[in-house]
Amino acid sequence: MNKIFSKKLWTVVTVAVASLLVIAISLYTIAYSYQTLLNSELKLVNYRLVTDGEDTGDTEYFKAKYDTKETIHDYSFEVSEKLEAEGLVLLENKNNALPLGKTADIKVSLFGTGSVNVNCSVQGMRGANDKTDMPTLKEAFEAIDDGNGKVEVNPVLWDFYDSGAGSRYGGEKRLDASTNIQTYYINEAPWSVYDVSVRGSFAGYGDAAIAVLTRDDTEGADMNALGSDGKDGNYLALSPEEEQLLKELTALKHSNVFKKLVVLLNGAGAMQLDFMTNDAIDVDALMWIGNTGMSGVHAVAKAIVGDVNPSGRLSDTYVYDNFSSPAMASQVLNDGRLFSGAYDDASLNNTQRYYGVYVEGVYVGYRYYETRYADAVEGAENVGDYDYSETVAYTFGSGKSYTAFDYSGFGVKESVDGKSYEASVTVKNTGRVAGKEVVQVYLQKPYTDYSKENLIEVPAVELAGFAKTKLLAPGETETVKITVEKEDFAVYDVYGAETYVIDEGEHFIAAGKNAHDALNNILAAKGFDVASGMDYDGDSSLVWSDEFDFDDTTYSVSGESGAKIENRLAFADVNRNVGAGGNIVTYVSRSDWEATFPKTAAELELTDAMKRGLESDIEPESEGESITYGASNGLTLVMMRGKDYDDDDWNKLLDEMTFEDINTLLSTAYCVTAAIPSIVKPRTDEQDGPTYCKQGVTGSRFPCEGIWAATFNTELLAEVGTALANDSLFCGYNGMWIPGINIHRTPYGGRSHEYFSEDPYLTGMMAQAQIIAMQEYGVIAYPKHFIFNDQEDKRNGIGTWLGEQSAREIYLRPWKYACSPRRGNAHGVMSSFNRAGTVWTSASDGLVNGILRGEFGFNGIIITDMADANGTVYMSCVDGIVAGTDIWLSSGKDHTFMPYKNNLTVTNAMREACHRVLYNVCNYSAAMNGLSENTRIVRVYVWWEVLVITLLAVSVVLTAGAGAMLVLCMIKEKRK
Amino acid sequence: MDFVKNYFRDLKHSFKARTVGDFLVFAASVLMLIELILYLTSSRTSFDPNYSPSAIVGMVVALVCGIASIIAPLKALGFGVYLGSLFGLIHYVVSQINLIANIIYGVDGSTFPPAFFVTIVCAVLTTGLSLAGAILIKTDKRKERIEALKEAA
Repeated sequence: MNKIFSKKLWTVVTVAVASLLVIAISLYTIAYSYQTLLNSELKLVNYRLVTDGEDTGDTEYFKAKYDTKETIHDYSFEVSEKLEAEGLVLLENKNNALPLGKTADIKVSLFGTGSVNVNCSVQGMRGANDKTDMPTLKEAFEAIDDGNGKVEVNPVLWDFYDSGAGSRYGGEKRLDASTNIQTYYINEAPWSVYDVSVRGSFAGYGDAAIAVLTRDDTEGADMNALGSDGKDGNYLALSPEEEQLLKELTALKHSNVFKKLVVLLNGAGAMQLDFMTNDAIDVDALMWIGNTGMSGVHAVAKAIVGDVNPSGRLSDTYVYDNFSSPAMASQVLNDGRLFSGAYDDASLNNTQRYYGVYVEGVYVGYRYYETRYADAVEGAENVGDYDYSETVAYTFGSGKSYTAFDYSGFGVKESVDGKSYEASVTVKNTGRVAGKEVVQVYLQKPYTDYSKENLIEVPAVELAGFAKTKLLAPGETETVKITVEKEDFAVYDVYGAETYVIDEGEHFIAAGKNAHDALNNILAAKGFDVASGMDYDGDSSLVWSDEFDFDDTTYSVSGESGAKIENRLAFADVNRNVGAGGNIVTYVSRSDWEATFPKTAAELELTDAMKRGLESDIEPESEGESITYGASNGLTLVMMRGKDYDDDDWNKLLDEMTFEDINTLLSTAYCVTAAIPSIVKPRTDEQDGPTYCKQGVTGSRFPCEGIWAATFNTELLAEVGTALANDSLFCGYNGMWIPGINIHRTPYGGRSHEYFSEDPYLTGMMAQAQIIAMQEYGVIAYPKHFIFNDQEDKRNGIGTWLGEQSAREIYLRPWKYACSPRRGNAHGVMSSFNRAGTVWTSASDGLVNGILRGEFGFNGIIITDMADANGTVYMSCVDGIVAGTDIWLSSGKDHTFMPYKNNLTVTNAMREACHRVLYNVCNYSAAMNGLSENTRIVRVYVWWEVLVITLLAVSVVLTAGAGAMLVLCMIKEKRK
Repeated sequence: MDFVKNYFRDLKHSFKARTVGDFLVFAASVLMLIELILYLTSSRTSFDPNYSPSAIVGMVVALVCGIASIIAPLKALGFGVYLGSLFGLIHYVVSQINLIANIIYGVDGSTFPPAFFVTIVCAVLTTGLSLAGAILIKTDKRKERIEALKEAA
């Protein structure tokens, strides 16, 4: 008995259970403050839907097309391969080196560390994904067996890379602690490690040497223009080891060990192709395969042997010197050849300090290379030292086929309503194998004195339409019809009309096999030829032109919404921002290429006004109507289905919510929009992409978006949308943050794999097709990242400065296609980490309310990018909500509207945001499936809640008991 | 007046009669003070801009118990330091969760600032030392020593 009343014993027990109590209290408070995140990650729902009485009809508002893991996987596998088959681009094919054919068994040798570790990744980095169930390139080759012969892959060489000396090499990304810069390394195996047995194996597998040059990219870090192991530190150039490999393979080819040398470019960023002009390197066939997704290697193998006829066309321009574009010419002048510069002010934090300037204006990608070429041919002044053929390796839209196509019967007619043109052309397969052709239509607007006076820049050629033929058999023809919108002839006039104008003069529509081809056709129609300096004569029969009068009225009103289009982005342009003081940026202009091409870094001085602009959490003055909370009007969310956005019942429904309900809905949107029992709103679940469903379980993974774009096949994009939507639904999600629709402004963007192209039209049309298909299944698409998030360097709060014309014509344009209700009609948008000028993009009234919601007519949900870890300081609730942003991708820990409960400006903006969220969820989300008017939400406790509450209760009881025993012991001891 | 005089004399004796456990708790209290100062001055980052009230509560409880244990060297106060610092440690780590997540996932190349490590080390040492100190506090032994000191005086 005395032992039980031992003070020592109960001291130990009390301390132990008190420790447990401390841990339990901590767990309880932590778990509940992260409950949204926890439930989302654990895929738990802390409520259940209860329907009283009888259902009022079919409540499955959205139905899946594929609903088992196997069917989704198989469909995705098929779509992934189709995408790669139609998206890979055959850039070079000397003497018809490809296809290898299969009249007999073929024996090939695969070179490069990438050959055994092809970048098929959906996260950019080849090592980022579990590759279970993903075939290797070797397996893909060996799977080819259609009775005409097999393909054998050199097993010794394969083992060398897979498990031998070569396996010690391969791409990686490292953080330089001193500079805090992430650096990508190629780390190719040097030729010296290929031992005698490996080299001796080549002769037996000499039908082709296939070298895979692999590059990674990933969010958070741009590919390096300096500091990598590529030539001169350039990650997208060959490394010395890669160069030596290609030289050795060329030598082996010349000594007849190999018959052909085939190079596969395996990455999302456009590689620098200077090696193609190296006399010691003799590549027979060059193919861009992007990141290949779950099954794309099958398409690659089939294309090499000829079972697939390549029909992809470049979605980016490939050049011999990646620093030759004005965007990169400007970037390489910065410290570390980084996009960012830094304001010289030690008081700024890391989310305020950095900026970058888009000095190239509208001259992005081919718009620069082709326009300067056109000016050289047309004899414009100050073109300077520019040789197109020595600069551009393969222009935008380029790509070869194993067959040939002729165009004839080109014609253009205006539509009855006068809003568009229809270009038609007949395509004939004149070769010997079946194939698909991409017909591309480009337009040219005049570059006039008015343009020069008002600083309007006009690219010489711009993609305005495209169509992909069906698979044409040899000799077969197809007439394709392509719509060109007349509004695409308008240019944005910042300084003159301050809106879109049609300039006076001759406007052209031309068909071509790529951007350069279309431009040459236009130049031919203008009377220029090789003698004028063209690299080949164009075909004027593929050109239409018309004289237009000056018009500053028609396109000053949005065709999407009827809103007035006017200058809204002066704040983002250093030259127009009234607070920017003496800062002046020289934008590239075709009026004087020589003088305006970047020669010095675009450095900015921070003025007091700019510094004030960098501040966040600015509470507006309180004004507006008072708001009703917690009313009992008997409405639930499902009763609002089909009702107009302006229906008065929405006000009654919103009145039923408490302020806390609204705060939770808006501020706690980590992969969800929260369930709101008061109006029977179910939780929605969202997930990241864009080329797979993150957290998915079906293994569905697709090639990089650049490959999607290179298909020029919108029907295929609809299939991607269908696959991703069904995968998403199966995995329990009804919204996806996809597609990525920023621009490949340079080849170095860290998210190159997530974005389509350097061209805004191609980006927009592809996104539109995918979004429409996805949303049919009740999966809300959130295209990202709105906006100017075209690079990753210092992305958390970096200020992008740019002119309004390029902002509208290049970067904002895809959003019109994705978000306008009459086009893609995306019901969601994800905003970006960066600022425009000094203002966080999501807090910009001009960008969000003015252009996205106003001019484009978007009335969907705007969610921020990750607001917790990356943007806690500057991605402010109060700044964003009044600018039209709706929900914060946040656990709600650091983002909350609670302090603004009495500010009517904020609470009214919150109510409107809530209205938009509910309207879109109610009408377009599969989360509404199963809800009828008789449904109510009943709270349930998920397992972790039961666990922490039990733990807490037990530890309280134990601590109290042990404490009591300890006191008893002490009393007893005292009495003794 | 005699009361005050006696109080300070007793306090003096109490200090002189300190045991190993008392020293450990005292050391833990000093570390807790450092931890609290570090927390208040350098824990707010662009990822985690707000103070954690729970972390502060834990640290303050530990510090108050530590100071109290100097004046009134009770075993329970030593455990109070331990429990407060344990609570503070857990909530400190949680308060830095965005920074930790950013670094673990390599979001933007950020690294742990030195203050983070120092705070963590202080917190862990405080917790460990206070627990050891509380266990090792010998109130009987101290009483004996105080009595001996009183007699000697």
